[in-house]
Amino acid sequence: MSVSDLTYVYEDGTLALEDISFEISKGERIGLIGENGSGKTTLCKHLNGILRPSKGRVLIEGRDIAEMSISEVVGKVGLLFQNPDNQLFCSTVTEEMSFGLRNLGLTEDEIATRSQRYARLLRIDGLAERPPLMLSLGLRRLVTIASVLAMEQDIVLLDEPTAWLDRFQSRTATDAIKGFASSGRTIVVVSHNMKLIADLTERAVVLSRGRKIADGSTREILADKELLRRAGLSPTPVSELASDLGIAGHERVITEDDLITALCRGRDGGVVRP
Amino acid sequence: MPLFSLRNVTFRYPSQEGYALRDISCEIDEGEFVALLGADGAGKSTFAKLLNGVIPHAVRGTLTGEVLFKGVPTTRLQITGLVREVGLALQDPDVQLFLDSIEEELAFGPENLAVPPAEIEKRIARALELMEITDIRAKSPKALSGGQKQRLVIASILTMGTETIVLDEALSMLDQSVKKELLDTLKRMSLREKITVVVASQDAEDIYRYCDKMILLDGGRLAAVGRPSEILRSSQVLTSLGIEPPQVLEAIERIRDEGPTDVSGRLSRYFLSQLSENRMRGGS
Repeated sequence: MSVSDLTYVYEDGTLALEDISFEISKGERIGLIGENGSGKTTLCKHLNGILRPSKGRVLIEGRDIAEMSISEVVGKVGLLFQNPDNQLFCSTVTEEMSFGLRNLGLTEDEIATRSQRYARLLRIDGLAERPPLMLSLGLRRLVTIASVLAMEQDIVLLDEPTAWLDRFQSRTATDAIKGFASSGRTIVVVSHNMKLIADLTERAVVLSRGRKIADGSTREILADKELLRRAGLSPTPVSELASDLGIAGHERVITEDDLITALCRGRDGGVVRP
Repeated sequence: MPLFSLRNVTFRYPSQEGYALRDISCEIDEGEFVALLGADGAGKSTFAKLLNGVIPHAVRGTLTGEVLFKGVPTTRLQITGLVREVGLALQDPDVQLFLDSIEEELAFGPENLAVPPAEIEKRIARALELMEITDIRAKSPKALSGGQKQRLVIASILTMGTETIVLDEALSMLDQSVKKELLDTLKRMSLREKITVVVASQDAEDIYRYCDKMILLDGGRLAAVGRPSEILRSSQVLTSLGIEPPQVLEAIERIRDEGPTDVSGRLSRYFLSQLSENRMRGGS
């Protein structure tokens, strides 16, 4: 996928995105980060053709998304909405999960097999006949994740996938997403949760006030506290702890594993203990 | 006398078979900053609705036990009086904001309570100052960021004369830095004006630095109540209930097991120094 010189102006004249360019290679796991209102969700909506650029282009495998039919785009790019309630409309969980698969032209047997597989993966298999909108917010979120992943599109855009989830549900969702990405599919994760971005992605694109201000390895970006500050983002809690305490090598600390490594390295003069 | 006393409270929604809350007994004091923590479906929203009387006055169901507000059972109080005392901020601020200007939004509640115009003006000025948004007074609510909208919702509650604010997952969609700034503001407001704040969340990551008390729910039952320094002795208390613990606490526990022993004590002291009760004791 390639985004070139993408600019988007809302009807009321608000400039939401300005001259955004980047490329996404097959199988990449990309984080799209920025503060509330930086343009992350608007950019996502361009990557699956819901919005059309005011200027610039979005290409999928060399073809302009503006020239593709909706069914062609949906066959390639999936989108998990930020708010699950904008995505749920069927009367049972089974119908909800089958809806997209039916539109892909799968047989009823294939639909049943695939939706059951993803329902098990997201641990919602006991909810098959329940009305989705009567479920708790966390369960509604898991139903939407299962429905989107079950489509098995080449590129999946996940807008705040773990918002509304408790710890158990969050672990279930991130394991499912990691498994999905490990089969060679491309994922774009939009989030303000830097712990999640560190866990799920290898590359990060940073947006600030509708402009791209950085694009690089997730580790380098999350270690750059000045960049995070400019983007209105907070470092991970262990990263803050490491710099507050002046731990040697604190600038490399993003995750708990990094903190342990930094502490052991500082003590043993460069030798990393397990 | 505690501000709220829950005595053996059990509640079941009419359409559901199971209980939303079972045999809950705990207290909240005036001016306390409380974290109400639990996994998805643990009963946090039901608990929040009990505090401002929406349950049982507007949402009917089977309620046993008692919720006392300033010593009086909420069943004996009028909901119109209770909502003046206890305000509820929800997940999505757009659900609670519906007028064209910030001043109209702030005046709506007190106007409906027939508060005289001069008093309304005073309340608006105080609410904007407490929520630290005096500078946005002339803007349109639609032009505000997510964090500013939540501040405006809370300010609109304050103009009703409310002294207790309950936030039901109202911080969950805010950026980490915006969330911390809002918690800072709420803490300053709570300390200065003795306003009681209850924050319902399934994540202890940010709130642990601000709260005086943690109330932990598990499948509708009370799992634990205590000060953060008591509850956070081990992350396992939280993780076993499906609540995200502070990342720093999990890291400290791993270092205790895997890392050099001399630094684990230093990290534990750092963690404890972050707790509100210890910061207060230190005078900062």
